[in-house]
Amino acid sequence: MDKKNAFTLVELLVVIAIIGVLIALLLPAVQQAREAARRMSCTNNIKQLVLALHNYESSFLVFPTGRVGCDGACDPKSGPSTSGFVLMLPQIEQGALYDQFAPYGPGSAFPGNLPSTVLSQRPDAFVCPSSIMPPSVTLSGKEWATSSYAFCSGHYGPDQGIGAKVKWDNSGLFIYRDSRKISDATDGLSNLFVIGEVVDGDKPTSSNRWAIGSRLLDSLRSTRNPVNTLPGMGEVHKPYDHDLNAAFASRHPGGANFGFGDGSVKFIPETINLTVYRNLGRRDSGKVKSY
Amino acid sequence: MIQAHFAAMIGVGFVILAGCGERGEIIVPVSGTVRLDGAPMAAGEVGFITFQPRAGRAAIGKIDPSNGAFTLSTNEAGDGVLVGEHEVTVSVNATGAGGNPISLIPKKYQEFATSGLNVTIDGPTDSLIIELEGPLKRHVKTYDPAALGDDPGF
Repeated sequence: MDKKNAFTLVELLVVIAIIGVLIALLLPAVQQAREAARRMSCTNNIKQLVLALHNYESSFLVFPTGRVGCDGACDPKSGPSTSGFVLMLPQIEQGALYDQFAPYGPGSAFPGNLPSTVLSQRPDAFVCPSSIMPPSVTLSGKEWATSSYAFCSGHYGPDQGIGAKVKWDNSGLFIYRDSRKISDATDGLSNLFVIGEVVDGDKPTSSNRWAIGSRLLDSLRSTRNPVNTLPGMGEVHKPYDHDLNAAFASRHPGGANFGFGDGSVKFIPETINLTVYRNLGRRDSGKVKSY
Repeated sequence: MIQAHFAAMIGVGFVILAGCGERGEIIVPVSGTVRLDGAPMAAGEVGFITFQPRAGRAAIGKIDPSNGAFTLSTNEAGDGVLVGEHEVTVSVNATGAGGNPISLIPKKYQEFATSGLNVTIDGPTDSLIIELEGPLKRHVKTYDPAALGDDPGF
């Protein structure tokens, strides 16, 4: 009997089984690859923003202030709550949008009669691809665009209530009213957070509108709570109706991206030591910040 | 011969699956009471207790203003704290003049470096006791944020 040159059924089944196992291994990995790509895109956004901060610094010799005006507790009282992200719009090639905001600068009320069509503009650089927050939120009769990023105001957070330490005397580079310089960062720009990620910018516990700067909330966050502390959790302060934790958080599993003052962007894991994390938010801690 | 191949394949499969387990960190539910000078702390203001492990994510719990009770949370509400040695801080603040905090307990308890509180967590517990020494500030004048001219941001 001559030998047939063909596969047996068992050989075929074995091959199919092996292919099945390989696909089973690969499919979840593909989903991770998508998240990795989103994270990379998010990293790029932060890098562009830090670059824009440095371009701003080159023009004006200071970083943009976290919030243009102060409120009742400091002079000038009732200043505009315009955030530093508005000031740096020309540096991210949004000069036309900046021109819409320009008449509402220092000495005038913000947002005044600035229409929702301007306030709801959401430049791509302010949105992390992993973000699932709605693009805008309606507050006080205006529609505001939300953002995935906030300045690091310092390491003072809900523990300092709504006092001076979270407004114009916080330990980072971005605060109420005053602008800070590169030379203020005596720990070195490579050891200092300037921009981090935020989730749920539409919720009252975690409001994050890029056009507004507000303590424990919009555009000004702190490293008091651990990274990825979700809204309402951790150490909170409740000045009015909502628990505010001022925390940085992201939708990336296991941590969040942070832009450092030197332009590097690093993924900070949730497991980072809390003391080191807090110190990374301080410009002049004098402490070693290895992690 | 074919059976041997199958056995080898199944073996390889188990080895691959074995790599997909949970991470080695163990979080156990922990709750308890903060006591001040030997009695449950009734500060009248919400406080916060923070557990910082040697390595890994810190846990935070809200302290009940009436009886000092707290439940720790690491990743999700009430999930607990990592097993191991922890440095602990406790802060209880009232809103004072200008919106600035007034610490109702001695300030040293607010910092890991100065609190002197160290706790080892071996397993789940619902009766962890944290002992503090006073004095507790009482009858502190508190301020309404709206009356301070604070911009609520909305």
